Amino acid sequence: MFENRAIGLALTLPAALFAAALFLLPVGILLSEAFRAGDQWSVQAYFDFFAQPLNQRVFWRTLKLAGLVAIVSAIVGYAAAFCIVSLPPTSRGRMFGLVTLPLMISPVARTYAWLVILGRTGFVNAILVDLGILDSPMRILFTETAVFIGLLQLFMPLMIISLVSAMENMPRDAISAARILGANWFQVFTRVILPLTREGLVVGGTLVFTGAMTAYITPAILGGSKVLMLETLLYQRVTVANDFVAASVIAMILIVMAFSANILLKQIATARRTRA
Amino acid sequence: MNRLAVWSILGLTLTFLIGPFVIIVAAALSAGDSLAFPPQGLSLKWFIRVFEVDSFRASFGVSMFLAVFGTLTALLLGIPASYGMARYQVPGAEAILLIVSSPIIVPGIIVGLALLRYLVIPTGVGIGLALFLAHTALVLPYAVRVVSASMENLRVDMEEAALLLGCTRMGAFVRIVLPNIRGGVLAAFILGFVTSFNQVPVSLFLSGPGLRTLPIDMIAYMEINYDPSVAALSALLAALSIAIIFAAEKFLGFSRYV
Amino acid sequence: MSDFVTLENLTLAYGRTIAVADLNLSIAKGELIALLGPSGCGKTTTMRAIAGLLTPRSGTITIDGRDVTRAAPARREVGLVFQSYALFPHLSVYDNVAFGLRLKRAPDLDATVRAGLKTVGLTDFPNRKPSDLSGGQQQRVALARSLVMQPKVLLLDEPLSNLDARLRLEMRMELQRVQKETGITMVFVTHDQSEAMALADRIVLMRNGAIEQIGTPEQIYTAPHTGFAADFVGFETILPDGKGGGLAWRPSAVTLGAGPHTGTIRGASFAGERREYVLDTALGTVKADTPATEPRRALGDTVQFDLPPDRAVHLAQVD
Repeated sequence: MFENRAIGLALTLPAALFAAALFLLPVGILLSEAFRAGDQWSVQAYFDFFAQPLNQRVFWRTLKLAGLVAIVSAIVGYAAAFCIVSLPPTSRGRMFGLVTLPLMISPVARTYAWLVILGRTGFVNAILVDLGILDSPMRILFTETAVFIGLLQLFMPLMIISLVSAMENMPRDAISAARILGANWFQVFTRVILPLTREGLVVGGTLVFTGAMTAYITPAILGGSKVLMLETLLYQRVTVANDFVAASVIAMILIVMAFSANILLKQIATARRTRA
Repeated sequence: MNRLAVWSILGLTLTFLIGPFVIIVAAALSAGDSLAFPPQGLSLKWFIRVFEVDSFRASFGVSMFLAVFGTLTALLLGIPASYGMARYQVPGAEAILLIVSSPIIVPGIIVGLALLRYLVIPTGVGIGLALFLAHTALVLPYAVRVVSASMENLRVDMEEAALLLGCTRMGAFVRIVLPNIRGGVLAAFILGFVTSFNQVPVSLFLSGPGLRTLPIDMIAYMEINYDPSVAALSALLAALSIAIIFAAEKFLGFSRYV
Repeated sequence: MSDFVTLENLTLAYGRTIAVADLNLSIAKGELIALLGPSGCGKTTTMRAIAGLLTPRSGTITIDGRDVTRAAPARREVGLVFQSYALFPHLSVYDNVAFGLRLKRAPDLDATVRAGLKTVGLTDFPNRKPSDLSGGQQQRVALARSLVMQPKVLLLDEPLSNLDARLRLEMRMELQRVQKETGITMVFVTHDQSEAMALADRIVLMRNGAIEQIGTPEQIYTAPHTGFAADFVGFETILPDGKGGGLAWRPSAVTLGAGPHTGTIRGASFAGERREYVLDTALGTVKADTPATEPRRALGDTVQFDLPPDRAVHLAQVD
C-alpha cells in the first residue's frame, strides 16, 4: 500500500533539505576554510595553529580537563549507579529522577551557582576563613579547578544514567553468585561489574568526554579568559581578532571529536542489537 | 550494600548535583546588594528586580518565541519526515536520517558562526531569521526521533482499515495516525522547547542589539553586574523547567517517550 | 452469478519477488470461499490484492462486473477484518463501528450502528474503548465495523487463528450465521484445514503462489489431486509410484496387525479416540492409527501392516 516511494520522498525531503541547506552547507564551507591557504588546498593552517604555544596549551588543557571529568564521573558514577540500582523500585525511580533533573535546567543556571560558591565572598571561602584554615579568601574562580568542578557537575548525570541503564541489564544474580563463590568487593567490581557494564561505561564516557570537550558556558563563566578551552578560544578568536581561519581549525577539531564519538556510540549500539 | 553506605553516597552525590541550586535560591533571597552565601538577610527584592530589567524581559520574549515557534516548525518538518520514513521505503533513508540528526552532533557554536558568515553577512538575511532557522534545525533531530519512536508502535493495518472504510490517505493520517502519536508529539515538543530555551552556543554569534536569547543576556549581565538578580533569574528558570518536567511526567508519562 | 468476483491472470509481486503468478479464480455471489495453504503460499497476498492494498503487477480483478484492478480500497466496496482486528484505539466501540458510515455521511447512522452491534451480539458496551475488550469481543467489533458498510465482498484474515478452542467454535458458528443472514460473499484466509473444511463452501488450496486444487471440502477431503494436497488434508502416508504420481492413505486406512508388509514402530502416541503410530518400513515412512481400545504397541516393536488399495487415493502428481 505504501509502494509509492515518491510520496515518501516528498514527505521526507523538506526536513532533509532544511537540515542540509541550513546546516551542513554552511558548516562544510566553514570547515573547508581550515584547509585553504589562498587559493590552494593545504593543511598549513593547522601547523600555524599548533605552532602557537597558547593554542597548544588550550588544546591540551581541554583534553586534560575533559579526560579528568570523564574519569572522575566514572568513579563517582559507578558508586552512585550501584546505590541507585540496589534500591527498591519506587525509590529507585525517584532517585533516578532526582539525578537526571539537573539535565533539564539551563546550563547557565547550573554553572552560575558555582560563582556563588567558589567566589571570594562565596560559600567555600567563607567557611574556610571562618574555620581559620585560611587567613584570607583564596582564588578558586577562574582556575582550572573551578572549570573542572563546573564541568563535572554538568555532565555527571549523563554518566550516571548510562551506568544505571547498564547495571539494570546485568544478569540479576551475577553479583550474588560471585560473592558466594568467594569474591570480595574489589574482585566483584573488576571481574563482574566492570566487564558486564563495559558498554555503558563507554557510552557514558563518550558523552561526558565529548560534552566537556565542546563545552562553552562553563568555561566561559568559570574560566573566563584566564582558563581558555577550545570553544571559548574559538569565540575569542572571532570576536577579538576576526581570525576565521583559526576558528575553522578549532571547529574542525571539535567536529572530528564529536563525529568520532558518535561513530563509536553507533558501533556499540549496533553491536548490542545484533548480539541481543 | 548496607543502607548507611548507600544513603551516604547518594546523599553526597545529590548534594553535589543539586546543592548548588539551594545555594542560588538562598543567595537570590539576599537582602544585601552583592552575591554571597549565606545571604545577608532575606528579601524578595531581587526576584522582583528580575522582572524590571528591560533586557531580561526582551530576551525572555526572544527565547520564548524561538522555543515555541522553532519547535513547532521543527515538528512541521519532522512529523511528515517521520511518517514518510516509517511507512514508505524512502531511498537513502539512512543518509537522510543522518543528515537530519546532524545538528545533535555538530557543536552549536560552529553552526552559529557558519550561519553568520555564510548566510547573514553575504545574503543580508536578518540575524533574527538566522537565529530562528538555527534553533529550528537544532530541535529537528529531537522532533524526528521522538515522533519516529511513537510511530513504530503504530500498526499499519489500522491505516489500511481506515482506507477500506472510505478514508483517503490524508484522511487516514489525520484521523488515525495523529491522534495516536499525540503523546509522542507532545513529548517531542517539550523536549524541543527545553533544549531550545536553554541553548547558548548556537546563539552566541547570532546576537545583536535588542536581539539576544535569555541565557546569553544573563551571561552579558553577569560580566558587568555582580548582583543577585541573575541568581534570582536562574532560580526562576530552574523552577520553570522543573515544573514543566513534572507536569509532563504527571499528565503524559513523559519518561516513556525519551 | 458464478463470477461475482473474478481474478484473471493475476500476478502479484513485492519488489522483485513474485508472490502470486498468473492466478485465475471465480467466486459466485454469496459463496463462502477459503484460501487455504501454508505460510508463504500467497493466500494473504491475494486477499490484500482483492482489497486493494496491493496493486497487481498484471492481470485483472472484477467485483460485481466492475473492473477494480486499479481502484482505491475506499472505492471497491470491500470489507476486511484484519487478523489483529485493527480497531482504532482512540475511539470507542460505537465510534469504531460508525467510522466508515460517518465518512460517507450515511443516513440513520445511529440505527445502523446499533443494528450492526446487535448482529454480532455486542450491544452491551458501545462506549468502551477497544483495550477494555477481550479478543473475541474485539473481533466482533471489527466484524460489525465492516458489515455495516454493506460491502460486496467481506474478506477475513485468519479469523479463527487467535482464538482458543471454545471461542473458535463460537466464532465459527457466528460467521456462518452472519453469512446466512446477510448473504454476503465471504473470502477468508487460513492455514488451518479443519477451519476451512468446517466453514467454506469451496476451498482454494494454494501453494507457492499458485492454486493447487479447488473444490468443495468433501472433494478435497476425499479426492486430493496431488501429494501436497493429500498431505494437507491428512493423508499422511504417501508413496510415489515412480512415474510422477502416487498413492496415499489416511492413517486409519492402514491396517495394523496383519498384512504383507513389515515395519518397526518408531513413534507411538495416545490421542484420545485413537492411537497413532509412525512406522519405518521398506516402502518408506508409514503413519497408521488404531482405535484406542486396541492394546498399546511399543516403540521398537515389529508389526505387520497392509495398505489396502481400495482405501487409497490416486494422486496425479507427487513431488
